Amino acid sequence: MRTTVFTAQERRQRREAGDRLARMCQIRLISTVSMLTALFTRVIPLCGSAGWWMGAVCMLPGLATYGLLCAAIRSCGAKTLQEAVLKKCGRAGETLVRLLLGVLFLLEGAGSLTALVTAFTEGIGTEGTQFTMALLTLGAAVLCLHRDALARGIWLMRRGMLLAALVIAALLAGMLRPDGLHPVLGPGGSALQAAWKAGCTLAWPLILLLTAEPAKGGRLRAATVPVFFSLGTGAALCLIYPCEMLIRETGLAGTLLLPARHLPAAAATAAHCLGMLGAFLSIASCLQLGAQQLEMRRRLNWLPFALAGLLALLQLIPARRLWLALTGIMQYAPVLLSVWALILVIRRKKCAE
Amino acid sequence: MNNDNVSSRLEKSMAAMDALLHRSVNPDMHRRLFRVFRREACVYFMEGVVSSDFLQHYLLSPLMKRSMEETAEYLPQLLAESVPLIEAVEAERYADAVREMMIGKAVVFVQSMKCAVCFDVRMFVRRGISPPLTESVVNGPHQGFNESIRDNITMIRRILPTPDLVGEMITVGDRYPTALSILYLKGVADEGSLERIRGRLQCIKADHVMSIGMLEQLLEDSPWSLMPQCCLTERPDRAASFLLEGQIVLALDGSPQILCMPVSILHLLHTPDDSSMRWQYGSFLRLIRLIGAASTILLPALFVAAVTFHPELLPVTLLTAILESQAAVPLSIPMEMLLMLLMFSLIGEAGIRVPGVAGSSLGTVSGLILGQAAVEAKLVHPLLIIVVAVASLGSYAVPDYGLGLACRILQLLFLGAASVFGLYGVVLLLGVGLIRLCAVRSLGSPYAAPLSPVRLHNPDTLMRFPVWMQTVRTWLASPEAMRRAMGSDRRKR
Amino acid sequence: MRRVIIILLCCLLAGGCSALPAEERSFAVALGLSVREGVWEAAARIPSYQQSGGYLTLQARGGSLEEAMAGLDASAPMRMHYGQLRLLIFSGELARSGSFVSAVEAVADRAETRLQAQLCVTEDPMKGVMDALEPQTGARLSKSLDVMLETRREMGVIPDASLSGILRMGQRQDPVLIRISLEDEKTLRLTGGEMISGAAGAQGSLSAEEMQLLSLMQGKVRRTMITLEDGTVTIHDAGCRLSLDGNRACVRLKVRCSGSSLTAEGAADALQREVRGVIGRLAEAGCDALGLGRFAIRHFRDAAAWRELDWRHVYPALEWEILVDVQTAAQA
Repeated sequence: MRTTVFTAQERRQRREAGDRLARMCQIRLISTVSMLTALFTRVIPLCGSAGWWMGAVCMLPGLATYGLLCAAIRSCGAKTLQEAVLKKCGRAGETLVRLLLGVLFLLEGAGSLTALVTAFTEGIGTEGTQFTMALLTLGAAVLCLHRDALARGIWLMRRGMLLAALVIAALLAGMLRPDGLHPVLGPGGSALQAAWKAGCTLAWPLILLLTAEPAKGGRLRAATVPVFFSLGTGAALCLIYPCEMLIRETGLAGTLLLPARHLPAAAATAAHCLGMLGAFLSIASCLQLGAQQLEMRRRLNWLPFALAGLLALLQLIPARRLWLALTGIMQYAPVLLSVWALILVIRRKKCAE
Repeated sequence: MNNDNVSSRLEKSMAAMDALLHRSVNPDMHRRLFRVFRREACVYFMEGVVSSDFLQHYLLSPLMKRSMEETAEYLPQLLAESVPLIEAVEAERYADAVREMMIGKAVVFVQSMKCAVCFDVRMFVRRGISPPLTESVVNGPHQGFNESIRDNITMIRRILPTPDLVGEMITVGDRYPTALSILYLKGVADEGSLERIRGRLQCIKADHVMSIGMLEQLLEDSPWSLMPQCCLTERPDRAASFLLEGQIVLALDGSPQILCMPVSILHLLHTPDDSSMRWQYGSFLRLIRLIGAASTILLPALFVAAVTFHPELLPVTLLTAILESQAAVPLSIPMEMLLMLLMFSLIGEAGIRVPGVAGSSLGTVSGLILGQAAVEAKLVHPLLIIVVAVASLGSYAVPDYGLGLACRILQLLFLGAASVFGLYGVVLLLGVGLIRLCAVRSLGSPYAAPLSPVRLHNPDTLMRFPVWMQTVRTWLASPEAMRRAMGSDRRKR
Repeated sequence: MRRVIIILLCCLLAGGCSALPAEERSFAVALGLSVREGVWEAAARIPSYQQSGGYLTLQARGGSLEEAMAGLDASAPMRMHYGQLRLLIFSGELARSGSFVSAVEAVADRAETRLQAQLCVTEDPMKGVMDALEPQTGARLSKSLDVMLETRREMGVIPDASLSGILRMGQRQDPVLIRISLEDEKTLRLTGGEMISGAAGAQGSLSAEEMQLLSLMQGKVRRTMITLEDGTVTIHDAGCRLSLDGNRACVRLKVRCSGSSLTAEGAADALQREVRGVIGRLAEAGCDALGLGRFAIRHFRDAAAWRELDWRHVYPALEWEILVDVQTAAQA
């Protein structure tokens, strides 16, 4: 068996590449959880059986912004979005974009936390309150806030989670009906407009992939897993449940638990566990990466704990109101990123930095 | 400790040595006066650690026969040349002389000589080579280390007869030092790891390092982590395999185990048997061990979670059987499980403390009687006993004792999580546990490697591939020594 | 260490996740709902959890379904849990009433309800039906029911009427529920089907043979033995294709059979007659058990237009073309 042996420098480069891969995997998980949650809770409940193509349409603006930013980053020879902004807009611009990214990570974490807590308190039926469940989740997330270990842990778990997802998908495959794609416009024209309005920023989490250096395969490959996984799951949902069931008013918990509701008990529990684990890892990652952005290149060890406390305090707001507020803000926040994208494309490189 | 230089006056030296050795109250410390080179001389030695034969026949007898006068300047050299013993070391200070005497040497002072000469006449009482107590194998050698550092190093050198096997000797313990040997294969061990271990050993601030376990706790990266970050072994063949992989081995005088660093969690699941068997059998047994470890940690928790929180997961036939027997039991299922797990741990501990045949009989009988009695007294129900027994057996299938104990502690943590949050708690704790596992390091090397982060490695991690495919050392070795020869040229058969 | 303390405190504060010990729950194996003159009655069959085994029937009444279910919870020795439900039985009167669909949805909306439970209809008194639910051959009742349902489904004499399947039909297909009847005090018969037509509820029943033909057409059964008017046919393999072209529906049934006193042509004729009979019964009842609505909906762009069509009125007026191709084992 031929074995390639590397020099010490090559080993170091390979290790750095491995760390980049783990970091990308972490951000892809955040993106996937975010996009799936948005698809299940904002798009499909409005457009029903049109969700399988409406999801793709809602992703277009986000994908376009992502592409634009990728091109802008490549054009100025930077590795990350922050670096590109630094080169083109100076230190002030970099500070602003870091602030924006940090806040977006936090919003993402808050959204995942609200969804997770609501699914458990209202859906599955735990005895804890919204706040205490949030405390528990954030307490566990704080235990995971290690510099390298969180990304490596997600990398380690990825195959197990993918395998579980495949098994659940295989069980769901037995419930697919091709007529689920019809009627193609779902409830009708006004519903599609509402779905577009609610879901046009569906793909914005892909932009978070630009905050880290690209791994092997480039940025396009990094975006494929969240996009195709989300679209595939959305299409499967439409194929399994008729339009009338998808648009039935069941609240946030109902929409989150619907995909696995009709599975046999063991598979449904496994699906809930998988969703819970994904959401939990996403929350921990958002805390870590958000703190990294807000640190502004300094080392503030207390910051992730403070952010965890902030997220916990947010859960004192009733879940329904909090969810509406978060979805409202997240609809408009990525617009700022699009503005940054245009600035990066148009503005010439600054000479000093 | 008296750091004065040795005086040329014999009376002064004797007074200083008597004071340091507390001879007035310490009958083990002996002094023998004699004459050599027509001068007054004395020899200090400690009873019980020196060989009387060596002392009489090879030290005193030749020296006493030296009756010609010599100049004081050449005395140390002449003394060394007169005596047919292998080791003769000069000590210029009283403290050094005492230190040498404490490790079994005889210290000679001569009138007008400005130093003491220490001769190796050691003959410690020690245990012979016996099979290892905690690492039995089916195939492979049955030799285990003993408490003598010299014997242990000798056993390793027999397996690896190469000058590249370096054994650096140092002492650890500021006040009462103990000999420690750092063993590694030069050119194979990573220099960075060596520097780290030397640095950590230098930083040890302890009066005395009693055992290898204490040394482990002083050297490990994450003292708060449940996971053992070093591997302790009683087997010379296992120590040799670690050395061949580029790892560093520490042997402490007085401890029958040696310590190996750095390790990954997968190393702790390997046994020496694995490489002695064909790859199919080795892989199968490794899989059994993994299942055992997973059962230990997860089985009780999954059972409690399923019965208490997710009864819809169980077939109704099984569920009804459990509930019918549970109806008469006063305790809740989590409490029953905890009680039984603690009971089995108690039986295991008692079995270790009771020696010989009685120990194994105690384990069998108490397990059977207590388990049966508990069922008949309706304190627990039968299925729970089976679950606990399987989980406990799983922990004994883990080769590393420390890792087995860690699995049993984790078992209780998972049981707690399952009792409070059901399967969701188990999954959450599993996620947190895996992430914390990735945070642990062993001598700076990631503990969960090569799984995460991925490292170039031998195909001998989770599954044991054929030995002729294992042509690479682990990522723990020096980069220049990654490739190694292995296997036979099948074309020439 | 401080992080560990944080999480331990969180655990203490957070409480438990439905932390009710299993031995403090009553797992209902069957749930029966009926309504008579505005009074709702709920009955449940639960294990008695005694060493000797045995089952109990609980009953409760109320002015609404929720009241009756609450009364059932109150009369149960422990908290009711429907996670092991095998049968959900409706009285004929309830099945024919306008409250049937809402009753099904109300039961399905309970968080722990086992959605794989089979829906049944009975004309006999609910208490008698519940009391007759006893395990056969010494097995547990749930196991006994699972085996009984599975065997009959394989033969095709009862439909697959799981709660999950019925809910996911939406408005594009109609379910056929299992018919349960009491032969005597101790023996239940599960055979045949009850046709449901959307919100109108139960509209008639199908015999065991008709149910077998329907199962063949639905593709649920490929091997069975059917007793036709002209003789008995053992079917080794069957396949069916449905299509809808405008107002014209087509059923293509391909069958390989043996052991029949009929010739291939005779068997084909007999099958065609019987199939036409079943389709006629379904059309008369307005029950689209074959799921032609799934074909029809493809021509509509949005749900409003589909609702405007009112498929349940269009379906009975469809023209049917039935093609039966029979191959005997000798010919194969």
